[in-house]
Amino acid sequence: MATQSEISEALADFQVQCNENERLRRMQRDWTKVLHIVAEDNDSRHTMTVVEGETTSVEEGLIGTPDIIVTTDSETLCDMFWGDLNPAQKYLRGELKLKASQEDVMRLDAINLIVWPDE
Amino acid sequence: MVSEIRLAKVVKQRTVVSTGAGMAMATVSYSASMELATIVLGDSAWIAILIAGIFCLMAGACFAELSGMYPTAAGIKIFIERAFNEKVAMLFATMYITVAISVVGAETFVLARVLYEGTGITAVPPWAWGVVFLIAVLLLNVRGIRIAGTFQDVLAYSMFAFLIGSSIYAMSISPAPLQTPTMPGDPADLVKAVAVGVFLYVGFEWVTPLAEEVTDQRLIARGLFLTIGVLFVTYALFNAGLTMTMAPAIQAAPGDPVYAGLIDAAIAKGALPAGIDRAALTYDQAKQAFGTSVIPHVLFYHRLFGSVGIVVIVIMSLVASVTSFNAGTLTASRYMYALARDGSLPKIFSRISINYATPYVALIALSGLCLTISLAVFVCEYFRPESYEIFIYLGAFIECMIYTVMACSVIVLRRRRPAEARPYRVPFGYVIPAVVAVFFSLLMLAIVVEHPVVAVVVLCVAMAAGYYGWRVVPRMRATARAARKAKPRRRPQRSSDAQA
Repeated sequence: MATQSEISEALADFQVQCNENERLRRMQRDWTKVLHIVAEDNDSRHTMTVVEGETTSVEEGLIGTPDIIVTTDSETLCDMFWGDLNPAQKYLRGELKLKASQEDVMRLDAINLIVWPDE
Repeated sequence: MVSEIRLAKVVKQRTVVSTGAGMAMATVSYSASMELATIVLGDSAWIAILIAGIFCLMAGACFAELSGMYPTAAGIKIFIERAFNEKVAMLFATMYITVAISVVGAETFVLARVLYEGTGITAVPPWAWGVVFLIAVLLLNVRGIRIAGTFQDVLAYSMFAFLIGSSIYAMSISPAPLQTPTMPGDPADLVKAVAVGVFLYVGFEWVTPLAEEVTDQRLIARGLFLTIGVLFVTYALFNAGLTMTMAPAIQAAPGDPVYAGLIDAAIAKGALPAGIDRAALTYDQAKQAFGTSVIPHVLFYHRLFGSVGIVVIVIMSLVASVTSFNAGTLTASRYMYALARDGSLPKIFSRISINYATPYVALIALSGLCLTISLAVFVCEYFRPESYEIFIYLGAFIECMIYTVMACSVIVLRRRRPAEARPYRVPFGYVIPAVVAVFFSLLMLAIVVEHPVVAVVVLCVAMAAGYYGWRVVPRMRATARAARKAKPRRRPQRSSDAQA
């Protein structure tokens, strides 16, 4: 089980990766969302805010009204945000749960694909 | 808890219903509705629509239970996977998506005929209308434009209000009373009519991908039931209005060039005897003649409202087709994209448009498949008129198949995972899932007995999907796993793990 600080570390790295990726910034130029990231096996909760493609903040706790809620176990969250795990596989097996519009679900995976492209 | 959190934007009940009903109500539904009317006697089509609706309602209850347990857009695959295994899930989900797409062939064909005859622009052949329409929908989808939310609600509810209102009006001014409304005739014919009736509801279950967009899963369950209700009322009234208007019209003027052509077509098809006295057609014979029309709704509204009626129905057909295609291909392309990301399809299908954030390769591939199937329908129609109806039965068969599998999944999951949370539970224990499984299995059997070509097509698709799932996918996954293993992990190792 990953701890809250491990997930925070993964999210901080993810924020850097996203903000430094020009292609991603271009694709997400009109994307402004609040994401709640919830670990279902411990109390870890995070809020990520994206404004016009830029990940402006990653904070501990659930803040504001989310557009997207990502729920899975803490290990999966860690691996996913470090880019070591393909979220589509977890999603298709029902192990990664999302609450969002279909467009946003698609975008979430697309972000992952662009930041860590399949070799 | 997550369930207590509210999303900034959630889908409301009315959108759940408009999505399901809008998906089911396509242009080909009008033709299928008329096809159904020709199978039973008089104006008793509503009985077949009701029976089909009741069983679809029960199937909807199974979907509601499963969707509540696993509220995800990848639902159908996950439901089957949890109940059986991944290979079985891949097989049925792939067959479902592939054959559902093939219904597009019939839809494009009917819409093209509506545009060809309705617009009066006969310089453009029907197949070209079909190609233009498919390309237009592809462009819409690649740009990520989705007809959704309030706009979709307005379109869908306007369409249903118009259909219901105009049908009641048609019935009220009809020169003929309702004919044998409670006597459908031969029970075997009623079974056939119910099979076509199931096709009328095809797509109502596509509300389950909305499970991620609602915070209360009961909305999906309620939405499934309301959708069936809306569809039943609309189809039953539309069918009665259609036949009560057009059968007397053909009886009164069998020499009219349009009606005479329909009578000729019915004779050629064998639906009417060659030496029939055209001046003394019965109500049911006139109905048989009208049943040969690919665009019964255009003739109906022309008869009812003149040229204004044609304009309205052309617009409505376009709206019905665009909304069904738009939502259908977007959902299917995302499923294809997810499978490619999962390693179950070639990676090329996971390519994303940076400008529009859409899976453009998956969309182009799907549109190419739709186009190929549509052109195949045009070619078949050229050699054998009304062969597009086979695609209606194909769609009905595949729906029956997926309803059967869903009902079995409910039964298996109740035994395997009895403690899992179920926001909605199908009442009366195993009775309803068992009835659904048996009824739709029998209906599948009835369809293949009547149309063996359906069995051939489904068997071919099943063999291809089975071979792909059992032999090709494991190899692709192994390659993907090896590539991933070869990549160094980015996540820092824990000190405790390092010591271990």
